[in-house]
Amino acid sequence: MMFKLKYCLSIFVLLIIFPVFCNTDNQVQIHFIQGRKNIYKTGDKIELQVTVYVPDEICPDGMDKTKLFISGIKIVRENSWEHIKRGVWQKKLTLEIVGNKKGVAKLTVYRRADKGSFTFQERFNLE
Amino acid sequence: MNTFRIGIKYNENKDLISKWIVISTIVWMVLHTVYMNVMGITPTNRTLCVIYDSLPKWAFYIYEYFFELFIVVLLGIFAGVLIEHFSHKLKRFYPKNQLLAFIYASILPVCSCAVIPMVSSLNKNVNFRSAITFIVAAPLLNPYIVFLSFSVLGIKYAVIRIVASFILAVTTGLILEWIATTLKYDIKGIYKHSKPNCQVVSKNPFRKTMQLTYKILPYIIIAGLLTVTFEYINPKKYLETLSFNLEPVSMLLMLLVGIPIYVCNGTDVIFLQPLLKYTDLSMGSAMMFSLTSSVICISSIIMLYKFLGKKLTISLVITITMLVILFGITINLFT
Repeated sequence: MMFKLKYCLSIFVLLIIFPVFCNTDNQVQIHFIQGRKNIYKTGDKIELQVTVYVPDEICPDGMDKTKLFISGIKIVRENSWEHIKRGVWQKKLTLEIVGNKKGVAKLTVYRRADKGSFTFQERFNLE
Repeated sequence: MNTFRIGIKYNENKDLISKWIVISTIVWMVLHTVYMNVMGITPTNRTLCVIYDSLPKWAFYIYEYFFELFIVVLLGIFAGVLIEHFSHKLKRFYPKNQLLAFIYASILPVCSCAVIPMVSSLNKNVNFRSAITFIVAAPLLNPYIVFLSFSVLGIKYAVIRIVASFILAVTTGLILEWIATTLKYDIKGIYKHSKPNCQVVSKNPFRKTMQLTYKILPYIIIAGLLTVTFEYINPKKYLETLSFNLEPVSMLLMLLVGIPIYVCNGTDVIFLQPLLKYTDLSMGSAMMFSLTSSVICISSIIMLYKFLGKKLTISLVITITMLVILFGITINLFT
Protein backbone atom coordinates (compact mmCIF):
# COMPACT_ATOMS: atom_id res chain seq x y z
CA MET A 1 0.00 0.00 0.00
CA MET A 2 2.84 2.35 1.02
CA PHE A 3 4.75 1.38 -2.11
CA LYS A 4 1.74 2.21 -4.32
CA LEU A 5 1.31 5.59 -2.63
CA LYS A 6 5.00 6.45 -3.20
CA TYR A 7 4.71 5.31 -6.79
CA CYS A 8 1.62 7.47 -7.42
CA LEU A 9 3.22 10.47 -5.70
CA SER A 10 6.37 10.15 -7.83
CA ILE A 11 4.33 10.08 -11.02
CA PHE A 12 2.28 13.07 -9.81
CA VAL A 13 5.43 15.07 -9.02
CA LEU A 14 6.96 14.12 -12.39
CA LEU A 15 3.79 15.20 -14.19
CA ILE A 16 4.01 18.61 -12.54
CA ILE A 17 7.76 19.04 -13.03
CA PHE A 18 7.95 17.79 -16.62
CA PRO A 19 5.93 20.63 -18.24
CA VAL A 20 7.97 23.16 -16.25
CA PHE A 21 11.17 21.82 -17.85
CA CYS A 22 9.54 21.60 -21.24
CA ASN A 23 8.19 25.11 -21.09
CA THR A 24 10.19 27.13 -23.60
CA ASP A 25 8.27 30.34 -22.89
CA ASN A 26 10.81 31.06 -20.17
CA GLN A 27 13.72 30.47 -22.49
CA VAL A 28 12.67 32.57 -25.49
CA GLN A 29 10.99 35.94 -25.51
CA ILE A 30 10.00 37.88 -28.59
CA HIS A 31 9.46 41.60 -28.47
CA PHE A 32 7.76 43.30 -31.43
CA ILE A 33 9.49 46.67 -31.76
CA GLN A 34 6.65 48.29 -33.72
CA GLY A 35 3.81 46.31 -32.20
CA ARG A 36 2.14 43.12 -33.36
CA LYS A 37 -0.60 42.86 -35.99
CA ASN A 38 -3.32 40.23 -36.04
CA ILE A 39 -3.10 39.75 -39.81
CA TYR A 40 -0.10 40.30 -42.05
CA LYS A 41 0.01 40.72 -45.80
CA THR A 42 2.80 40.04 -48.30
CA GLY A 43 5.50 42.71 -48.15
CA ASP A 44 4.85 43.66 -44.51
CA LYS A 45 7.99 44.22 -42.49
CA ILE A 46 8.30 43.05 -38.90
CA GLU A 47 10.98 44.23 -36.51
CA LEU A 48 11.69 41.87 -33.66
CA GLN A 49 13.98 41.49 -30.71
CA VAL A 50 14.56 37.87 -29.77
CA THR A 51 15.85 37.19 -26.27
CA VAL A 52 17.01 33.72 -25.29
CA TYR A 53 17.89 32.43 -21.84
CA VAL A 54 20.56 29.75 -21.88
CA PRO A 55 22.95 28.30 -19.27
CA ASP A 56 25.46 30.89 -17.99
CA GLU A 57 28.55 29.22 -19.45
CA ILE A 58 27.45 29.45 -23.12
CA CYS A 59 29.94 31.40 -25.23
CA PRO A 60 29.40 33.04 -28.70
CA ASP A 61 30.49 29.78 -30.40
CA GLY A 62 27.90 27.87 -28.37
CA MET A 63 25.22 30.31 -29.51
CA ASP A 64 25.77 29.09 -33.10
CA LYS A 65 23.61 26.16 -32.13
CA THR A 66 20.65 28.50 -31.63
CA LYS A 67 19.10 28.71 -35.09
CA LEU A 68 16.24 30.56 -36.68
CA PHE A 69 14.03 28.73 -39.16
CA ILE A 70 11.55 30.62 -41.26
CA SER A 71 8.43 29.77 -43.21
CA GLY A 72 6.51 32.27 -45.33
CA ILE A 73 8.92 35.05 -44.38
CA LYS A 74 12.41 36.14 -45.25
CA ILE A 75 15.05 37.64 -43.03
CA VAL A 76 15.87 41.13 -44.31
CA ARG A 77 18.34 42.06 -41.60
CA GLU A 78 19.81 40.08 -38.75
CA ASN A 79 22.32 40.97 -36.05
CA SER A 80 24.56 38.42 -34.46
CA TRP A 81 23.72 37.23 -30.95
CA GLU A 82 24.56 39.91 -28.41
CA HIS A 83 25.51 38.93 -24.88
CA ILE A 84 23.33 41.06 -22.57
CA LYS A 85 24.21 39.49 -19.25
CA ARG A 86 25.07 36.06 -17.84
CA GLY A 87 22.87 33.53 -19.66
CA VAL A 88 20.93 36.14 -21.64
CA TRP A 89 21.47 36.68 -25.37
CA GLN A 90 19.66 38.98 -27.73
CA LYS A 91 19.29 39.37 -31.46
CA LYS A 92 17.47 42.00 -33.54
CA LEU A 93 15.72 40.88 -36.69
CA THR A 94 13.85 42.49 -39.55
CA LEU A 95 11.53 40.09 -41.34
CA GLU A 96 9.46 40.48 -44.47
CA ILE A 97 6.33 38.49 -45.19
CA VAL A 98 6.65 36.61 -48.49
CA GLY A 99 3.66 34.30 -48.02
CA ASN A 100 3.17 30.57 -48.45
CA LYS A 101 0.44 28.03 -49.23
CA LYS A 102 -0.29 27.33 -45.56
CA GLY A 103 -1.69 30.80 -44.81
CA VAL A 104 0.50 31.21 -41.77
CA ALA A 105 4.09 32.41 -41.58
CA LYS A 106 6.33 31.07 -38.84
CA LEU A 107 9.56 32.00 -37.11
CA THR A 108 11.07 29.13 -35.15
CA VAL A 109 13.84 29.66 -32.62
CA TYR A 110 15.54 26.28 -32.37
CA ARG A 111 18.36 25.08 -30.21
CA ARG A 112 19.70 21.56 -29.94
CA ALA A 113 22.70 21.30 -27.64
CA ASP A 114 23.80 19.45 -24.52
CA LYS A 115 23.49 22.75 -22.70
CA GLY A 116 19.93 23.98 -23.08
CA SER A 117 17.70 22.71 -25.89
CA PHE A 118 14.42 24.35 -26.84
CA THR A 119 12.05 25.08 -29.72
CA PHE A 120 9.94 28.21 -29.75
CA GLN A 121 7.61 29.24 -32.52
CA GLU A 122 6.03 32.59 -33.34
CA ARG A 123 3.19 32.44 -35.88
CA PHE A 124 1.99 35.26 -38.10
CA ASN A 125 -1.48 34.93 -39.63
CA LEU A 126 -1.56 35.84 -43.30
CA GLU A 127 -4.49 37.39 -45.12
CA MET B 1 73.61 -14.34 -55.22
CA ASN B 2 74.06 -11.71 -52.51
CA THR B 3 72.15 -9.15 -54.56
CA PHE B 4 69.33 -11.70 -54.96
CA ARG B 5 69.25 -12.28 -51.17
CA ILE B 6 69.26 -8.54 -50.47
CA GLY B 7 66.39 -8.22 -52.96
CA ILE B 8 64.37 -10.91 -51.14
CA LYS B 9 65.13 -9.36 -47.74
CA TYR B 10 64.12 -5.92 -49.08
CA ASN B 11 60.84 -7.32 -50.38
CA GLU B 12 60.16 -9.18 -47.12
CA ASN B 13 60.72 -5.99 -45.15
CA LYS B 14 58.34 -4.07 -47.39
CA ASP B 15 55.72 -6.83 -47.08
CA LEU B 16 56.09 -6.73 -43.30
CA ILE B 17 55.79 -2.93 -43.13
CA SER B 18 52.73 -3.01 -45.41
CA LYS B 19 51.13 -5.73 -43.27
CA TRP B 20 51.83 -3.70 -40.13
CA ILE B 21 50.29 -0.52 -41.62
CA VAL B 22 47.15 -2.28 -42.91
CA ILE B 23 46.57 -4.18 -39.65
CA SER B 24 47.16 -1.01 -37.57
CA THR B 25 44.63 0.79 -39.77
CA ILE B 26 42.04 -1.95 -39.21
CA VAL B 27 42.68 -1.88 -35.44
CA TRP B 28 42.43 1.93 -35.44
CA MET B 29 39.14 1.80 -37.37
CA VAL B 30 37.66 -0.78 -34.98
CA LEU B 31 38.68 1.28 -31.92
CA HIS B 32 37.35 4.45 -33.56
CA THR B 33 33.98 2.81 -34.32
CA VAL B 34 33.69 1.36 -30.80
CA TYR B 35 34.58 4.74 -29.23
CA MET B 36 32.06 6.62 -31.41
CA ASN B 37 29.28 4.14 -30.57
CA VAL B 38 29.99 3.93 -26.85
CA MET B 39 30.18 7.73 -26.50
CA GLY B 40 27.19 8.26 -28.80
CA ILE B 41 29.22 10.48 -31.14
CA THR B 42 27.85 11.06 -34.63
CA PRO B 43 28.98 13.50 -37.33
CA THR B 44 26.40 15.96 -36.00
CA ASN B 45 27.85 16.11 -32.49
CA ARG B 46 31.51 15.49 -33.27
CA THR B 47 32.41 18.38 -30.94
CA LEU B 48 32.06 15.82 -28.14
CA CYS B 49 34.94 13.79 -29.60
CA VAL B 50 38.07 13.87 -27.45
CA ILE B 51 40.23 14.58 -30.55
CA TYR B 52 38.03 17.57 -31.47
CA ASP B 53 38.38 18.85 -27.93
CA SER B 54 42.13 18.48 -27.70
CA LEU B 55 43.16 19.80 -31.12
CA PRO B 56 42.88 23.25 -32.70
CA LYS B 57 40.13 23.42 -35.33
CA TRP B 58 42.51 23.36 -38.32
CA ALA B 59 44.38 20.36 -36.92
CA PHE B 60 41.11 18.50 -36.40
CA TYR B 61 40.14 19.19 -40.02
CA ILE B 62 43.50 17.83 -41.18
CA TYR B 63 42.92 14.74 -39.04
CA GLU B 64 39.35 14.30 -40.29
CA TYR B 65 39.74 15.08 -43.98
CA PHE B 66 43.24 13.74 -44.68
CA PHE B 67 44.02 11.07 -42.09
CA GLU B 68 40.49 9.64 -41.82
CA LEU B 69 39.98 9.83 -45.58
CA PHE B 70 43.31 8.04 -46.11
CA ILE B 71 42.27 5.29 -43.70
CA VAL B 72 38.82 4.89 -45.24
CA VAL B 73 40.30 4.68 -48.75
CA LEU B 74 43.04 2.29 -47.64
CA LEU B 75 40.45 -0.03 -46.08
CA GLY B 76 38.30 0.23 -49.22
CA ILE B 77 41.30 -0.74 -51.35
CA PHE B 78 42.15 -3.58 -48.96
CA ALA B 79 38.57 -4.87 -49.29
CA GLY B 80 38.90 -4.62 -53.08
CA VAL B 81 42.23 -6.47 -53.03
CA LEU B 82 40.76 -9.21 -50.82
CA ILE B 83 37.75 -9.57 -53.14
CA GLU B 84 40.15 -9.95 -56.06
CA HIS B 85 42.53 -12.23 -54.15
CA PHE B 86 39.79 -14.64 -53.09
CA SER B 87 37.64 -14.17 -56.18
CA HIS B 88 37.64 -17.93 -56.92
CA LYS B 89 36.27 -18.67 -53.42
CA LEU B 90 33.86 -15.71 -53.34
CA LYS B 91 32.47 -16.29 -56.83
CA ARG B 92 29.11 -17.62 -55.66
CA PHE B 93 28.59 -14.57 -53.39
CA TYR B 94 29.05 -11.95 -56.11
CA PRO B 95 25.87 -10.04 -57.00
CA LYS B 96 24.71 -11.61 -60.25
CA ASN B 97 22.33 -8.79 -61.11
CA GLN B 98 21.53 -5.20 -60.19
CA LEU B 99 18.86 -6.14 -57.65
CA LEU B 100 21.34 -8.25 -55.68
CA ALA B 101 23.99 -5.52 -56.01
CA PHE B 102 21.49 -3.04 -54.55
CA ILE B 103 20.56 -5.38 -51.68
CA TYR B 104 24.23 -6.08 -50.82
CA ALA B 105 25.04 -2.35 -50.94
CA SER B 106 22.05 -1.48 -48.74
CA ILE B 107 23.32 -3.76 -45.99
CA LEU B 108 26.93 -2.55 -45.96
CA PRO B 109 27.47 0.54 -43.78
CA VAL B 110 30.18 2.15 -45.94
CA CYS B 111 30.70 5.64 -47.32
CA SER B 112 31.28 6.53 -50.97
CA CYS B 113 35.07 6.93 -50.58
CA ALA B 114 35.38 3.43 -49.09
CA VAL B 115 33.22 1.76 -51.71
CA ILE B 116 34.77 3.36 -54.82
CA PRO B 117 38.07 1.41 -54.54
CA MET B 118 36.03 -1.80 -54.79
CA VAL B 119 34.64 -0.89 -58.21
CA SER B 120 37.57 -2.21 -60.25
CA SER B 121 37.77 -5.56 -58.45
CA LEU B 122 33.97 -5.90 -58.60
CA ASN B 123 34.01 -5.02 -62.27
CA LYS B 124 36.21 -8.03 -62.98
CA ASN B 125 33.68 -10.40 -61.47
CA VAL B 126 30.28 -8.81 -62.08
CA ASN B 127 28.89 -6.81 -64.98
CA PHE B 128 29.61 -3.08 -65.08
CA ARG B 129 26.01 -2.01 -64.40
CA SER B 130 25.91 -4.09 -61.20
CA ALA B 131 29.24 -2.62 -60.07
CA ILE B 132 27.90 0.92 -60.59
CA THR B 133 24.61 0.03 -58.87
CA PHE B 134 26.68 -1.17 -55.92
CA ILE B 135 28.78 1.99 -55.59
CA VAL B 136 25.76 4.28 -55.98
CA ALA B 137 23.55 2.41 -53.50
CA ALA B 138 26.16 1.74 -50.77
CA PRO B 139 26.41 5.30 -49.37
CA LEU B 140 22.67 5.92 -49.88
CA LEU B 141 21.27 3.19 -47.69
CA ASN B 142 22.23 0.99 -44.79
CA PRO B 143 20.13 -0.38 -41.91
CA TYR B 144 21.03 2.58 -39.67
CA ILE B 145 20.04 5.18 -42.31
CA VAL B 146 16.74 3.36 -42.92
CA PHE B 147 16.01 3.27 -39.18
CA LEU B 148 16.98 6.95 -38.79
CA SER B 149 14.81 7.95 -41.75
CA PHE B 150 11.77 6.17 -40.32
CA SER B 151 12.24 7.46 -36.78
CA VAL B 152 13.29 11.07 -37.49
CA LEU B 153 11.51 12.02 -40.71
CA GLY B 154 8.67 9.53 -40.79
CA ILE B 155 7.43 6.74 -43.00
CA LYS B 156 6.78 8.96 -46.06
CA TYR B 157 10.37 10.19 -46.29
CA ALA B 158 11.80 6.73 -45.53
CA VAL B 159 9.75 4.96 -48.21
CA ILE B 160 10.52 7.64 -50.81
CA ARG B 161 14.23 7.44 -49.96
CA ILE B 162 14.35 3.64 -50.36
CA VAL B 163 12.42 3.71 -53.65
CA ALA B 164 14.40 6.69 -55.02
CA SER B 165 17.71 5.06 -54.02
CA PHE B 166 16.77 1.87 -55.84
CA ILE B 167 15.70 3.67 -59.03
CA LEU B 168 18.75 5.95 -58.91
CA ALA B 169 21.24 3.10 -58.41
CA VAL B 170 19.73 0.80 -61.05
CA THR B 171 19.16 3.52 -63.67
CA THR B 172 22.64 5.00 -63.19
CA GLY B 173 24.12 1.51 -63.65
CA LEU B 174 22.21 0.96 -66.89
CA ILE B 175 22.99 4.41 -68.31
CA LEU B 176 26.69 4.21 -67.42
CA GLU B 177 27.00 0.76 -68.98
CA TRP B 178 25.25 2.01 -72.10
CA ILE B 179 27.60 5.01 -72.30
CA ALA B 180 30.68 2.86 -71.69
CA THR B 181 29.77 0.30 -74.37
CA THR B 182 28.29 2.67 -76.97
CA LEU B 183 31.09 5.18 -76.83
CA LYS B 184 33.68 2.44 -76.19
CA TYR B 185 35.10 4.10 -73.09
CA ASP B 186 37.88 2.22 -71.42
CA ILE B 187 36.91 1.36 -67.88
CA LYS B 188 40.11 2.29 -66.17
CA GLY B 189 41.12 1.11 -62.79
CA ILE B 190 44.17 1.16 -60.63
CA TYR B 191 44.04 -2.62 -60.44
CA LYS B 192 44.72 -2.83 -64.15
CA HIS B 193 48.36 -3.16 -65.21
CA SER B 194 49.66 -0.75 -67.82
CA LYS B 195 51.35 -3.57 -69.79
CA PRO B 196 49.95 -7.11 -69.98
CA ASN B 197 53.15 -8.86 -68.89
CA CYS B 198 54.45 -6.20 -66.56
CA GLN B 199 53.97 -7.27 -62.95
CA VAL B 200 54.03 -3.86 -61.28
CA VAL B 201 51.73 -4.73 -58.41
CA SER B 202 52.69 -7.24 -55.73
CA LYS B 203 50.69 -10.44 -55.13
CA ASN B 204 50.88 -9.99 -51.37
CA PRO B 205 47.49 -8.43 -50.45
CA PHE B 206 48.97 -6.09 -47.82
CA ARG B 207 51.76 -4.89 -50.10
CA LYS B 208 49.34 -4.57 -53.00
CA THR B 209 47.00 -2.46 -50.82
CA MET B 210 49.85 -0.11 -49.95
CA GLN B 211 51.05 0.13 -53.56
CA LEU B 212 47.55 0.98 -54.80
CA THR B 213 46.95 3.44 -51.97
CA TYR B 214 50.24 5.12 -52.81
CA LYS B 215 49.08 5.43 -56.42
CA ILE B 216 45.99 7.38 -55.44
CA LEU B 217 47.61 9.39 -52.65
CA PRO B 218 47.67 12.63 -54.73
CA TYR B 219 43.91 12.24 -55.28
CA ILE B 220 43.36 11.77 -51.53
CA ILE B 221 45.31 14.98 -50.86
CA ILE B 222 43.35 16.98 -53.49
CA ALA B 223 40.06 15.55 -52.18
CA GLY B 224 41.07 16.41 -48.61
CA LEU B 225 42.01 19.99 -49.55
CA LEU B 226 38.72 20.60 -51.33
CA THR B 227 36.68 19.07 -48.51
CA VAL B 228 38.45 21.23 -45.91
CA THR B 229 37.66 24.29 -48.06
CA PHE B 230 33.98 23.31 -48.12
CA GLU B 231 34.05 22.71 -44.37
CA TYR B 232 35.30 26.27 -43.84
CA ILE B 233 32.71 27.73 -46.24
CA ASN B 234 30.01 25.52 -44.64
CA PRO B 235 27.27 25.95 -47.29
CA LYS B 236 24.79 24.06 -45.08
CA LYS B 237 24.79 27.03 -42.67
CA TYR B 238 23.40 29.29 -45.40
CA LEU B 239 20.68 26.80 -46.28
CA GLU B 240 19.31 26.94 -42.74
CA THR B 241 18.42 30.60 -42.96
CA LEU B 242 16.54 30.38 -46.26
CA SER B 243 12.81 30.61 -46.72
CA PHE B 244 12.45 27.90 -49.45
CA ASN B 245 9.19 29.46 -50.61
CA LEU B 246 10.36 29.55 -54.24
CA GLU B 247 10.41 25.91 -55.28
CA PRO B 248 12.76 26.01 -58.33
CA VAL B 249 15.28 28.12 -56.41
CA SER B 250 15.15 25.85 -53.40
CA MET B 251 15.63 22.76 -55.60
CA LEU B 252 18.61 24.33 -57.34
CA LEU B 253 20.19 25.35 -54.04
CA MET B 254 19.74 21.88 -52.56
CA LEU B 255 21.37 20.40 -55.64
CA LEU B 256 24.27 22.85 -55.72
CA VAL B 257 25.02 22.34 -52.05
CA GLY B 258 24.31 18.60 -52.08
CA ILE B 259 26.70 17.66 -54.90
CA PRO B 260 30.02 18.88 -53.46
CA ILE B 261 29.47 18.18 -49.77
CA TYR B 262 29.38 14.74 -48.21
CA VAL B 263 27.14 13.98 -45.31
CA CYS B 264 27.96 10.63 -43.86
CA ASN B 265 25.77 7.91 -42.46
CA GLY B 266 22.40 9.66 -42.27
CA THR B 267 23.63 13.10 -41.17
CA ASP B 268 21.46 14.53 -43.95
CA VAL B 269 18.40 13.17 -42.14
CA ILE B 270 19.34 15.03 -38.95
CA PHE B 271 20.10 18.19 -40.95
CA LEU B 272 16.79 18.04 -42.84
CA GLN B 273 14.58 17.36 -39.83
CA PRO B 274 14.13 21.01 -38.64
CA LEU B 275 14.07 22.26 -42.24
CA LEU B 276 11.19 19.97 -43.19
CA LYS B 277 9.37 20.68 -39.94
CA TYR B 278 9.79 24.45 -39.57
CA THR B 279 10.41 25.82 -43.08
CA ASP B 280 8.71 25.65 -46.49
CA LEU B 281 11.19 23.05 -47.76
CA SER B 282 9.37 20.52 -49.92
CA MET B 283 9.85 16.76 -49.84
CA GLY B 284 11.24 16.86 -53.40
CA SER B 285 13.96 19.38 -52.53
CA ALA B 286 14.78 17.50 -49.32
CA MET B 287 15.15 14.25 -51.25
CA MET B 288 17.37 15.97 -53.81
CA PHE B 289 19.68 17.03 -50.98
CA SER B 290 19.70 13.58 -49.39
CA LEU B 291 20.45 11.76 -52.63
CA THR B 292 23.14 14.07 -53.98
CA SER B 293 24.92 14.66 -50.68
CA SER B 294 25.08 10.92 -49.95
CA VAL B 295 25.95 9.50 -53.37
CA ILE B 296 28.58 11.96 -54.55
CA CYS B 297 30.80 14.56 -53.00
CA ILE B 298 33.92 16.39 -54.06
CA SER B 299 36.20 13.69 -52.56
CA SER B 300 34.34 10.82 -54.22
CA ILE B 301 34.32 12.62 -57.60
CA ILE B 302 38.11 12.94 -57.37
CA MET B 303 38.46 9.28 -56.39
CA LEU B 304 36.13 8.23 -59.20
CA TYR B 305 38.30 10.13 -61.64
CA LYS B 306 41.15 7.78 -60.80
CA PHE B 307 39.07 4.59 -60.77
CA LEU B 308 36.65 5.16 -63.68
CA GLY B 309 38.48 7.69 -65.79
CA LYS B 310 37.54 11.27 -66.68
CA LYS B 311 34.74 10.62 -69.19
CA LEU B 312 32.88 8.05 -67.13
CA THR B 313 33.19 10.15 -63.97
CA ILE B 314 31.67 13.16 -65.77
CA SER B 315 28.95 10.90 -67.21
CA LEU B 316 28.20 9.51 -63.74
CA VAL B 317 27.92 12.95 -62.13
CA ILE B 318 25.69 14.27 -64.96
CA THR B 319 23.49 11.14 -64.89
CA ILE B 320 23.01 11.36 -61.12
CA THR B 321 22.28 15.10 -61.30
CA MET B 322 19.68 14.67 -64.06
CA LEU B 323 17.97 11.75 -62.35
CA VAL B 324 17.88 13.57 -59.02
CA ILE B 325 16.27 16.66 -60.65
CA LEU B 326 13.69 14.36 -62.22
CA PHE B 327 13.00 12.74 -58.83
CA GLY B 328 12.66 16.12 -57.13
CA ILE B 329 10.08 17.34 -59.64
CA THR B 330 8.15 14.03 -59.57
CA ILE B 331 8.10 13.83 -55.77
CA ASN B 332 6.81 17.42 -55.53
CA LEU B 333 4.07 16.63 -58.02
CA PHE B 334 2.75 13.75 -55.94
CA THR B 335 3.33 14.91 -52.35
